[in-house]
Amino acid sequence: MKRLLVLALVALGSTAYADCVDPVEKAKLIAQKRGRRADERDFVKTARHELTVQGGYYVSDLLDGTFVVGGAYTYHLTEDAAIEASFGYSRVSSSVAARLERDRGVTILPKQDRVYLVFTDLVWSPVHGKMRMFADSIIHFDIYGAAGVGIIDNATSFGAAGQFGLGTKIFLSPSWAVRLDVRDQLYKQQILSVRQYVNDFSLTLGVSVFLPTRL
Amino acid sequence: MVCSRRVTLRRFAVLLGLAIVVAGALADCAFADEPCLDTDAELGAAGRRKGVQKRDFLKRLRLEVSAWGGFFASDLLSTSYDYGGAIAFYPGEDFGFEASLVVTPFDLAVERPLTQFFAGQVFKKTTAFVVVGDFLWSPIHLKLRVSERSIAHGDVFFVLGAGDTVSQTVQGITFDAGLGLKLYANKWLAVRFDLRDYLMVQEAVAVQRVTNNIVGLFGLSLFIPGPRS
Repeated sequence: MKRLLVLALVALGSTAYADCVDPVEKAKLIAQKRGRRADERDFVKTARHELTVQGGYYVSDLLDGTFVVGGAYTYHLTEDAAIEASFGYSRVSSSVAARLERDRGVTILPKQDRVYLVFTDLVWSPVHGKMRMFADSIIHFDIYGAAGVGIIDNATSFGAAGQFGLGTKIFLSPSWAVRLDVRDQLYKQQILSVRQYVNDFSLTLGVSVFLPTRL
Repeated sequence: MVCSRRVTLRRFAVLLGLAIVVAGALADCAFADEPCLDTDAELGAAGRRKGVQKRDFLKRLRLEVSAWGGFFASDLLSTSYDYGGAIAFYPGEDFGFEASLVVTPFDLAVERPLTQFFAGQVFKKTTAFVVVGDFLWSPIHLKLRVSERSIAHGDVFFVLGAGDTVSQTVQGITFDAGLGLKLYANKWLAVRFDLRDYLMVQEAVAVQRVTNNIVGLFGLSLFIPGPRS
């Protein structure tokens, strides 16, 4: 009887926690939790179309800072690479030039003040991250660089232009994102007989929708 | 009589032993449910979300010395390069105070065509020094996948402040507001990107108005003293 009791107690002691974790199941669960591959993202961009509406501030090198509004279409070839076509509209003026024109009785800038910006860019998003906001919500985002060529159609512009810049895209849902872009437009501008290369900067905030919206 | 009592005792002992084994097994199941075999959770109790985690990079009570450079997109004048630096102190993880300097040339390229036709240049190129004090707020802590195996930590921060622009073209106080991104390379060094709007009353060729100057900066930061244990 004593032996039976001892055996029972030993059996009880040895099985107290031994059966608790199935090693195979544990390994599977750990693999699910830790072994997440880089291509398993919450927000998938590959082979999706992105439509953007954006607007912001356009700082002309020679002229005054002004608004810019526009849109963009982006096709994401992979998670990291995309091609983008963008369009922007602005109106430029120069308070300094206006003053000089008044003081000296000359015409420096043409009357037509509208600016059209049409560009195609290569977009590279090497950085994908997530941030914690207000203790409990996790938001995913991309940081990307863009470079391309295009046309700045303006009375003082020679047309062809290059642009490069940086941006960040914050993903709010599987199909919506907010984006912030800084771009430097480099082109040749002529005022009177003087031609010079100028750097115009644009800072825009936009909203994007990714198509198809449901994957 | 004695024999039957022995048999009864032996049966009682066997039953008691079985009862203990069954109770032990039941106790095992009770324990098992708690820490590890909850099928709903990814890893049972151990797989639950960790909540607010300890940060890898701590800023509290540390000094940050930065050197930076970038562009100064001037509203009234010409766009140009800029450079400078900043010193910041963090009383807490989420907020700090910063004194910064931006040095940039102020030029008026739109006037250049006129000087070729008419004698006499009105605007003379000068170097401006923008000195501001800012309040820093870092509400967003982030993680970036830099490569397949490495994760970098960082902060998104906002700045708001005021100061002075040492230039003959600027009158009154200079206000600044902006945002930035800081990525921590190790316990001492960080890479930072800043985007700021400097508001100032500026005058050029008898034109005076409030200007919004967009400044983009890329910099390196050193945090001293070293991380506390």
